[in-house]
Amino acid sequence: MMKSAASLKPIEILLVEDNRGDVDLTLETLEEIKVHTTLHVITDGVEALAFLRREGAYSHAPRPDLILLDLNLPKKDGREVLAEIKTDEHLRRIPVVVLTTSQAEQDILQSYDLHANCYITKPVDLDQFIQIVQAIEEFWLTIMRLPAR
Amino acid sequence: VALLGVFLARTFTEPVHQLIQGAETISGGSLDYRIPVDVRDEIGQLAGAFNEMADNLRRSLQEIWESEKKFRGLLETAPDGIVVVNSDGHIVLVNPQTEKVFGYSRDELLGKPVEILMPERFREVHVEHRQGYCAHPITRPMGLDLALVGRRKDGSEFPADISLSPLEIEGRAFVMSLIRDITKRKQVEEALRDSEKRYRDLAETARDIIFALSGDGIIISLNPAFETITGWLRTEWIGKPFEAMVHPDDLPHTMELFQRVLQGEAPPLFEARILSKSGELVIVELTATLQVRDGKMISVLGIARDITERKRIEQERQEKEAWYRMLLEKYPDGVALSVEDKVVYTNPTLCEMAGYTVEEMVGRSPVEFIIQEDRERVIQRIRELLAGGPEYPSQYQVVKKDGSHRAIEVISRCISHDGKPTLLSIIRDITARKRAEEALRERTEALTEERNLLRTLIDNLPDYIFIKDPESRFVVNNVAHLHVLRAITQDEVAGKTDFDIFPRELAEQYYADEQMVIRSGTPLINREETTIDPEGRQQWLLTTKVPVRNSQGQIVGLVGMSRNITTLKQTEAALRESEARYRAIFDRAALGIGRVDLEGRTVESNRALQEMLGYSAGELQSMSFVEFTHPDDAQKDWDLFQELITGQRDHFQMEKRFIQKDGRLIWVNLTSSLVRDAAGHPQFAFGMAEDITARKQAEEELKQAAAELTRSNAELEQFAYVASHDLQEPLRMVTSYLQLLERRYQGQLDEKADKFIAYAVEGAARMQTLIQELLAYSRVGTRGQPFAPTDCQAVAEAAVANLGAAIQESGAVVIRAGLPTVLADATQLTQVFQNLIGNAIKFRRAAPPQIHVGAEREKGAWVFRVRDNGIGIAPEFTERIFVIFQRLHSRDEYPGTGMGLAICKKIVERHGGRIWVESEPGQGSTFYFTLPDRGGIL
Repeated sequence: MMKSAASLKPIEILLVEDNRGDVDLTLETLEEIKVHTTLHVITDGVEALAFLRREGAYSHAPRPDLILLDLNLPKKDGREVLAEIKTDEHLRRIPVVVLTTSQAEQDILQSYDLHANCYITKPVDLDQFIQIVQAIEEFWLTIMRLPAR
Repeated sequence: VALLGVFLARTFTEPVHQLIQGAETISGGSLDYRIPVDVRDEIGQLAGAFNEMADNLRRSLQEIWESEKKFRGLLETAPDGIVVVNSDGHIVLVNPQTEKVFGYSRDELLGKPVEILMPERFREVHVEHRQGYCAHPITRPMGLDLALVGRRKDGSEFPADISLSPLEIEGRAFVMSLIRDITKRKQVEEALRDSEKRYRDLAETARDIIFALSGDGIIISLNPAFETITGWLRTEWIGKPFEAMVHPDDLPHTMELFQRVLQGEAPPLFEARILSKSGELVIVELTATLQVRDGKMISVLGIARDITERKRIEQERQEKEAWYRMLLEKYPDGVALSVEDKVVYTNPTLCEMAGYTVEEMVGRSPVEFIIQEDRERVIQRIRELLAGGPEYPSQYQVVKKDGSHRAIEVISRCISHDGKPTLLSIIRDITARKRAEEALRERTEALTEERNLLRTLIDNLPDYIFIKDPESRFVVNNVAHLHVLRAITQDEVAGKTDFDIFPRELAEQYYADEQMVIRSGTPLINREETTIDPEGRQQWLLTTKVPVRNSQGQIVGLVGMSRNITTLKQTEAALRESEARYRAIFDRAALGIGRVDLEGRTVESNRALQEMLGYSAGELQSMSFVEFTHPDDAQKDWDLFQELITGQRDHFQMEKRFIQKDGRLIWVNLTSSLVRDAAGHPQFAFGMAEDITARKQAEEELKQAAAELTRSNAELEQFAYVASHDLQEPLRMVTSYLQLLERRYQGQLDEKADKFIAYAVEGAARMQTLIQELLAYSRVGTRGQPFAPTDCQAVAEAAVANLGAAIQESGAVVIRAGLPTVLADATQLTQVFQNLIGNAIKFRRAAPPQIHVGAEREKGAWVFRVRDNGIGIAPEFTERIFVIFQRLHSRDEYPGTGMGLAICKKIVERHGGRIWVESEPGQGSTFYFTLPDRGGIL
């Protein structure tokens, strides 16, 4: 069913990331692995929540199937965004993958405490990065059964 | 008339008839028959006369019969022979006495001539005499002393007195002769004659007085003994009344007896006192008889025996007997005689002793009075004595009649009495003696026991106790003193003096002291003196010597007591020294020392304290420690001080501030302790204050430095964190896009561009490694796990496994053995092993690496080693290699960041160990690190 749905309609991914380099890298990677997705890029926490709650300019924003969330964000950092998503009964079921450069233990623990679905450290090596994006796509969008939108 | 006739007939015929009948009856021999008499008439009178006649007849017949009976009886029983001879001289009658006298039977004599009864020589003459007599018969009585002789049938003759009486019976003449055998009378007469002569002779020679008195008491005759006994001449008394001679007191009795003699009585012997010529009384025992001749009193004949001596002896004997009796009766011991196991005599003492009466004792066996347990012994003893065994006292228990027991001592002797063996026993009641003995024995025992006790007591005293005689010779010494005298037993020192044992000077001193005590009688109390012990060491004694007096108060010696006070003396000296030492310590100590009373007031202070506080000793005196204590410390100090006094703690230590006299503060480390007396009551407290102001300042500075360091460490941590996160971000951008560039555009640019990109990528990669290792290094201290028991063998295995690729590639051999279990952070320890083994592989020579991993225990720690056969390290670099980022080789030779050993060093140091290397270039290296063996519990 998911497969058929996916085949009909592109998968909506919200990438919350303030580093343009990483955004482009992600886009490049997704393009390279040729997955049929729609990537929505938001660069700060406030905007991200607005997008999810379809506020202001995002009133017609789609409900994403997956959120890729960086922790270091301007205005409202990723931890706050994660906390708000996971306490919002309309949003909390959307899988959130924390994608960050931090290897700090406390960041990992805190993210899981806030009910992050996954924590991934961004690898320095490009090949590894591509593998990870691929793995995310496979796992979250193909293998996992996600709740209906 | 008829009636009258009948009446008459009845009145007259009846009596006549009776009369006739009575006469017939009487004449028939019934003389006792009497006719019933009615005297009223003539016939009655006739009958009365008839009866009277019958009475007379009966009476005369009676007389004849009685005479006949008398005569016959006389004949039969006459003491003399009766022979009746007829006129022809033939015997017609003999009585039994005749048969007896002559030995003939009656039949042999009857009809025989009477001459058969006389000797033949008289027979012829007698016939003549008989015929003559018949012609002129006269009665011839006996006793005419005719010497007539009878002849018995056996021919023997005997003198006879014969009386003759003529008899005429029925006209015929007979002669009756009475014949009496007078042999006896003749003999008596003969004897009497002899006797008379003998008596006369006897009277003349008798030793008794023989006297004759007339019926009126006049002395008729006296024999010579009278003169001997009384001293009087016979002539002086013959013809005088005997009364004059008799003691007046004896006279009435004497006269009475005299009268009785005169009456013909034979009175018993009696005693009387007569007067001798010398005036002394002579006691005589006399008897007297009346002398009668031919029925006429001739005299009173008497014998008086002088019994004065006998009386005296008798009296003496009686007195003696009384003495003996008294002796026996009053003898204080019991006396008993027993014969054949029967008591025959007991004296009153014995009766009293046994509680029985004489009657109750006599006749019983002596054994019966002895208690059951002793009886066998008694029986044995009696047997012994009867067999002639020795005499000795034996002791038994007797049972009194009341059942109580008494102890007795018996000594017996076997004597012969009436031919029977008799036991004479003297029995003494020794109950009291026994008790006394028992009491004495008990007392003696008690005394002995007391003495032993006393001896034990003195022998067990460590003090020396001795008794000496007035010459200072040893009499008694207790064990402790004997030891000092080099002796074990009392005998060894008996009679010896101190001169025999001790050096002369000592002995002289002792002797002088003792002689002083003995002469003066004054005790010597607590004299300190010395002696030499058996080991030759000088000892100090505290000696007291006291004179000993006897019951008369004379001094007979002395008793001495010495206490060895050597130890005391030494202790005293040591104490003084100690006191001096402590005083010196107190006075000169660099520590401030103060003594305070229980209210905290200073009692004593040393110079250091005075200087510390700036007060003089006088100023400190009585000052409470609170006054020179900083107010912030005072409460705590006071509380601790109270806990000290109340016994909650022995001492306390606190750091506090003193306020000096000038107001400045100094820090001191105060140690305070309490001193109690022997009973445990607090006496005072000592406070010792060390000036730690300088240390406090240093500590303060150190504390600030430490705080600074902590802060800087935290900053460093923060830096490391920032480095790990924020530095990696741009690095990643550089790397990623360089790689993307390389990926997309390789071959599209020129060769140089490709090389530049490659350098850039490589630099970025190295930078990332550096950052990673730097992060790891910074996390050793902050991200470590708590220590837990860790098996180093397992840890080494893990490290080897992690290095699997490198080991395989290099062909390395990693030998690990004897690795212990220690308390460690397993992850970090794995890192250490991994780094060291990794280095060993990395810095190898051409040959395949040989790596030995081991451990040894050394001084409370485990020393681990990792030895290789690699290139080795020059000695000058052995320190440097552990410094962060320091490398010895170019990156081209051996890749690396120079962080590995720095991380190892940091981990080892975190575990409390150290790390070093021993190596020579080309000889391989050995890396060592230690881990403390914590308590050896693992």
